[in-house]
Amino acid sequence: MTCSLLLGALHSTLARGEAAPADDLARMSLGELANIEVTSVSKSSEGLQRAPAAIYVITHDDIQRSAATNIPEALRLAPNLLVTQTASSAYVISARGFGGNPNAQNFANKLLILIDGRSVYTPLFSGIYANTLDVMLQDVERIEVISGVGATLWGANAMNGVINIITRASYLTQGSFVDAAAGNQVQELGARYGDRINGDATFRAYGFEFHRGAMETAGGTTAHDGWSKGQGGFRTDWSTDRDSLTVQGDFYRGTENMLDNSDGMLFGGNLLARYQNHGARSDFQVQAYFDQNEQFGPAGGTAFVVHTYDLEVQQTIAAGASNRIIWGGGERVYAYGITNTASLLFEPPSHDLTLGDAFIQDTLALASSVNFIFGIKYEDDPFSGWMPLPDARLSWDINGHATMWAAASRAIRSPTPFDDEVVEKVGPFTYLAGNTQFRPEQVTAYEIGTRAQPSPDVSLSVAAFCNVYDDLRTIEHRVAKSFFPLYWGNLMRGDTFGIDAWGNWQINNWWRLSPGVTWVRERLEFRAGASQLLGIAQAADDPSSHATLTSSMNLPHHTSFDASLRYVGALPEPGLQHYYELDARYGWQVSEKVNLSLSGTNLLHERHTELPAPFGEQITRSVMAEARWKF
Amino acid sequence: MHSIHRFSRCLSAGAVLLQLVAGSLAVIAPAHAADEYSEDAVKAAYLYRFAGYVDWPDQGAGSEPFTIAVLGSPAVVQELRHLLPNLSVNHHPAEVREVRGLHDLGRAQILYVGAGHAGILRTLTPVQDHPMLLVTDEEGGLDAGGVLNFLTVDRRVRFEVSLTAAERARLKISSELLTVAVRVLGGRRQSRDGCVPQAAPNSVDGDCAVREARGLPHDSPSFGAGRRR
Repeated sequence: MTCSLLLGALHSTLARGEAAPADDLARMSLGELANIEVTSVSKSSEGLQRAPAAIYVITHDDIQRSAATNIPEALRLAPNLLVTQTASSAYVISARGFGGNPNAQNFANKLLILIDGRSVYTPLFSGIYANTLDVMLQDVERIEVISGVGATLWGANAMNGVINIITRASYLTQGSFVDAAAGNQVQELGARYGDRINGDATFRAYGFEFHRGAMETAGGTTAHDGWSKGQGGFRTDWSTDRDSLTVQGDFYRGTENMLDNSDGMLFGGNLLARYQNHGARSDFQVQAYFDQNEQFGPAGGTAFVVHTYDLEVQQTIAAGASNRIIWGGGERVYAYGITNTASLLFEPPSHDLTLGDAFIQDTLALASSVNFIFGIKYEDDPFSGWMPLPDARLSWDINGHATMWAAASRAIRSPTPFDDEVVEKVGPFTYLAGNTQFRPEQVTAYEIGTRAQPSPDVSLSVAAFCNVYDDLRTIEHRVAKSFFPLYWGNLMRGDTFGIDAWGNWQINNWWRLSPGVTWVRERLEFRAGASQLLGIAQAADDPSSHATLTSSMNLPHHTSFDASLRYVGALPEPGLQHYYELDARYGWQVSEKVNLSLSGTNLLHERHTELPAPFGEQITRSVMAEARWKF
Repeated sequence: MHSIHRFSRCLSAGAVLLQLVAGSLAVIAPAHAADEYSEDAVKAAYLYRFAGYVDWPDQGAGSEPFTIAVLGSPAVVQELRHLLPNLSVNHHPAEVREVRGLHDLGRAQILYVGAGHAGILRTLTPVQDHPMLLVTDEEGGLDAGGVLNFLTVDRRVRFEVSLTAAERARLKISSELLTVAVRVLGGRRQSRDGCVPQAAPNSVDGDCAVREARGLPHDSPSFGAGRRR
């Protein structure tokens, strides 16, 4: 080590700051410039860096270089998200706390996820089925992760955050691509082909199939949660001078092993069309989609089918020199059917829920460097009626090197069939029943943040927030006659405050370090009259802090090494010790067309637990080899 | 709090370790690093080179310098300051000017609008008093009024072209530039006529029809930029 350090000191005098001379660039043709592989895609040049919100962007390049094999693993690259794996196909994803508490059947339901504008939030209990999140990672353009309220634009449930997964337009994914990966936990084969239809239109089609192995129970036996999924899909992009039309769709089927070693099934698909018209002063967009998701537990278990129909229109208008107005509205219908079991019933078991909304937002340029953004959405929720979701933000661009912003906004977590219509039984005895009087959970959020680039090599983003919650869900019991059945109430309130911060440090032209940390303090209390059953902990079982440190290196001979270390603080109740875990990937760009890699996730422990038993299994170390071939 | 304290102690220990690792890795790393360029340097070079592929109607008169104005990207300004001295465009010395808003553009021939700032172009008067090549750097940049818009695809800096915007600015774009573009919007006749696929050794797509494929993925910006998904 000492020896290599000495050598390092010697060599570093030769190595530092030796970017190739700029004059070479000035002599290159456009074609040559277009073929230069750039050292790093600088985070600071992301268009969203100026938005007055805590936005972290996971780029295509970040994902391709990482060890991530699916969307939840890729989301771990965002320091403002906490991703907790509980089983082979199950993850809990949260921002700024409120990851839920399985003890109280409280789910991570304050975060919204969209794939290409299609909501993948389940209306049944408001939360995410991670087994429906798969996309071809090679085709992801970027993932925008917004921590904080986004309800004015994205609607209810964008309470603590919004995740936008955005795939590439088909004209950027032309040609053939094959991807094969094999390891102890993950085996995957995928292919994509893109071509043009005519002068105005391009398309791509893809398919993949994977198997992910089972985890272990706390007792050390198999958790029987291995699963397989096959998925295919397409995207076409067509346009004339002023219009564009995107049509895309996916379908999938999967099998999931269950604890009794029987198989559950998973089916689904979606079709989305988006038309846009670009004018000199205004843009108009209409989007419609259909989504179907069917999940079947083992024979005799719960099963459900959800059909979603969605139509949205919006217009963006540049009004005068200083106003930019965006307005629109939409209607969504969730038609679902649930197969009740003896212990878990929904009354009624099938239902059509209609969700409507209208919104308007204005970005007002107060000065060349100061913007004021204010807007409001009215959302007609099937259980609670019209709700206003306002938002106001002020941003100040300082010298082009820094942006400061402040925001105040309001959001809700809308009631669901699980809050209003559920019946849980033990034998003939009903111990929990839904509450038709259940109100939306509410938050009023205050944020202040800054994003700065103090030097060309360093950028950082810090946001401090204070969220004031009310009407949080509690479990209540009856006073008169009998204790049971229990029911859901809204008798908790409180606030959370905290910070999420991250940075990038381009140490030299081959190495970048990106640290990030989130710290949240929750102060919650029961309101008068609460049963206080299950205690304050029922609201959330969150660590007070979590952090990541990601290192990205370009090494000689067209190789790269990327590693991401994460720290998750202790969970209070149910309790779990803090832990560190590491994901890493070593890649070799053999030629323009071929990329080989060795990678692994959760490398520090052979097994570790991210949520205590019986809610979380022991997550197994995963290593794999992968080949990608473009032609 | 205890865990945070321990975590910060771990971090500082980690920082020391990282410096050690950095030192030892420096032995192996530089060989590859030397022939790489930063994204901003490549963009700066593009901005200079674009001038050779575009005709301005009032070009050639007077002895004024050829000015590349930059809004919202100090990094690109810095790269242009390295690059431009001793370079000229059509015998005019090339210079860079960092601008804060549309009011101090002067008579710049090129305006580069850094990522996240393209919205400002919507406030330009429809007929500008002098022809200017507007270069944007974000998704939807062409819709905002950009003539050229940078895209980063597979770690390469590429660009797309709006011939409609070029016509509006009274600029003529050479067919060679169109050949390298990822896609060309508008002015269909013109682009088809000017299409020279065999002269595109470095074009990834290298095909006229592909270049004409259009359709902006209107994904994105949230709050400030105001698009909803």
